[in-house]
Amino acid sequence: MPASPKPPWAKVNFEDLSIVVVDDNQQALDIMIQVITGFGAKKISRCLSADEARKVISDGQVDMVITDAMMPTIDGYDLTRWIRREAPEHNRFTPVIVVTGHTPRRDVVKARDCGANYIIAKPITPKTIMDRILWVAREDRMGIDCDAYVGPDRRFRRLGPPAGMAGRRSGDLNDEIGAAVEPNMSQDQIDTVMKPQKVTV
Amino acid sequence: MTVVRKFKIPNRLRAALFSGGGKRIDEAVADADVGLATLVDACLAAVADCIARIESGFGSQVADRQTHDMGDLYRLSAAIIDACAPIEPKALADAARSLCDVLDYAMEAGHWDWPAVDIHIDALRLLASGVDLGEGGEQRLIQSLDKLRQHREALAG
Repeated sequence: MPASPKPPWAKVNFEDLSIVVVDDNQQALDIMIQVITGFGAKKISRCLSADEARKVISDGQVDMVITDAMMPTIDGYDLTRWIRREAPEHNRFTPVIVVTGHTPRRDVVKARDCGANYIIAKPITPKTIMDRILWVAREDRMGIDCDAYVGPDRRFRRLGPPAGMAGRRSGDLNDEIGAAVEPNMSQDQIDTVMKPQKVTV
Repeated sequence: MTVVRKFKIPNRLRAALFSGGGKRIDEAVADADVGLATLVDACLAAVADCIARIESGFGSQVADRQTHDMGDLYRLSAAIIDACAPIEPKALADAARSLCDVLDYAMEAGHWDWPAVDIHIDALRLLASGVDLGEGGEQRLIQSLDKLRQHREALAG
């Protein structure tokens, strides 16, 4: 079971965490660095490309990667896939949080399927970033390694319908992904795709 | 046959975060909010720059706009969402995201809906200008963009 949520007065220590932040947009990089610096992080590697990030991850121990999804040449999904399959062994299951401005369902699913621990919708807020880091820190998902996928277990825990409900409504948990575009997903909707949790109906 | 290996992942993040010392969670968030506030001017300038580049490259007065790389328009819209982190109104990010949806659909369908793009550019300019839209005005504007997008997509099939 995951550890219990921490109350707001609990302490967190970011000082010794080695964090890699990746974004090809300088402004977005500054914003994320400002936020995690505010949390107390001191060992931050700022990378303007996935290539730079790969060098940093290859050279030392990294405790968390926060990457933008949409980058030229190698995007955040491919970077995550590289971490899960080709990074040095000690960094292969480092938590990866993907951050993106546009979150159609297919991209959220893509983030989950490339092995990311979480996807966060921009524009970011310090509270959202803190919440998701704490969620990732608390989770006890098993690691999965097979031909088709390497990363944290993607399966939802099937705990059945809520008390008093006979079952799911017919429209719930529709897994169809449209061929063209779907509406942008809110952070709450993203959470239902990315976070193993009890299914609510 | 595919072999699936399932194993426990050592959680270094948890070990380091809760190793003692550091800051209270609420204080850390408050400190980050203060830090983010120092970027407001830079972010406002970035938003203004993106809108100016969108208008000069893809506005209705640009005769050959259909020849420009629509990926650039998508990236500029996404850059507006990035820069909205410390600034108001949040509806600005919603309008930029709606434009991303329009462009995403257009790129998938191969059908360019310039009137929808123009309306989104107008909405971005209006929201960035800081004009008071009255109570609930920003929300109504975003709802209108949503309805417009759904209507145009239904028309395009």
